[in-house]
Amino acid sequence: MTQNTVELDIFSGRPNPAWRLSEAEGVRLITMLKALPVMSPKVLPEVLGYRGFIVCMATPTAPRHTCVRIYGGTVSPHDSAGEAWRADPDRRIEYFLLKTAKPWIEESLYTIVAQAMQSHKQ
Amino acid sequence: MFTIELDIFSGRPNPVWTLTDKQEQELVERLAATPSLLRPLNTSVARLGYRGYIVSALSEESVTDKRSKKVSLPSQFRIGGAEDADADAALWLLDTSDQRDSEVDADLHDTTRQSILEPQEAPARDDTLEKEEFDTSHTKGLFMRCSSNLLTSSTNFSFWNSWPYIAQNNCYNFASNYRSNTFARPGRAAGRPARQPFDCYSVRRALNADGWSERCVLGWNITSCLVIWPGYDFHFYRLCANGIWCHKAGSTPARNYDNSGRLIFNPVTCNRGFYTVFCGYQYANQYISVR
Repeated sequence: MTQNTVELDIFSGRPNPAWRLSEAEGVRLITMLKALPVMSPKVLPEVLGYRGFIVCMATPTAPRHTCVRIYGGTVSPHDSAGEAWRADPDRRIEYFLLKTAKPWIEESLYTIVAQAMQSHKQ
Repeated sequence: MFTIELDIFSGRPNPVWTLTDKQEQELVERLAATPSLLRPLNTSVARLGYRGYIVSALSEESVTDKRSKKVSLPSQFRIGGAEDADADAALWLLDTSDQRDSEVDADLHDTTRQSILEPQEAPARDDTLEKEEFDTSHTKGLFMRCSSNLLTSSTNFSFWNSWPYIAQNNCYNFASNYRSNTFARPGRAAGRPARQPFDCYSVRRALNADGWSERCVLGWNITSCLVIWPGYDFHFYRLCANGIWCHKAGSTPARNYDNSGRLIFNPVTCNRGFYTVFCGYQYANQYISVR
């Protein structure tokens, strides 16, 4: 069994919204992540506002969380573990995570994030 | 020779230009004809936006009007900005800014002209109106150049940008120059945390509870400013070395550039994304409480 927490990285002063994926969502996420090709690291824009999703994963065999940022068609390490960068050119994982956010965040914020994702060019 | 300073900005320096000999002569004629135009330097109208002009003499030479009468003028004085000021003189001075490499561009010229022709009354200084003032103008706490300042590097953020500190400290930690590792919230240390929905008034009140002031304080001043994403969040910038403003968006690295990737010389005009409301500046020394 895996425990995957997702954080919508968007706020500055207040804590970001965070939620836990269901087991089925977690399995799907891992499957999607494993299918992505490795890519060279690149510089991600650090902005005020929407900055993607941070997913932290833990399993009974590897209880130490590994965190990645999913943003703008990339999956990049978000801690000192140094996971490899992966490319998600269709941003399928980002849209999948947005969908899982729906029960957990305000409707107006969901709309803002959806619009920010549309307007963000890779 | 005289320089004219258009007194209009809060965070950035006001535009300044020098009068030509002919313009200087006309200024003297106008002052000789209407001495009430000249106002002492310390009679500024306490408001944001157009506040008149500051005229400064570059030398101590006396000036003469066209009747060759010597005119004695203070080395610095004001023209315009008062409700009953002579709009004609203020408009004429504005037109003297039309020079090569002028800092007064067409937009600023038009805005100033409109302010002169349709002056806004200064807000009443009544504490009971405090919340209404926030709601209407949002901004409280003007930019001040304090005599003693705590300015950290505007290029080296290694104190903030290493794990795990990067994730445990937010914009308020950075603004306070204090790494509490608690993802700090204004007012929490004082038992009066800012609560949603965030607006200038509620966050400012929490800042005051933590010990921030709207004026320079004794000791080494930390200068910061507050901005709001209406209804959702708050954010801070802090003045660092070399006049550059720096910030830390949530658990991201501290930095010195805005959403357009530009160095931040003015937090009022920089690209702040969703954080569209500028609430003003606040000052503190190392004795504030942050948690």
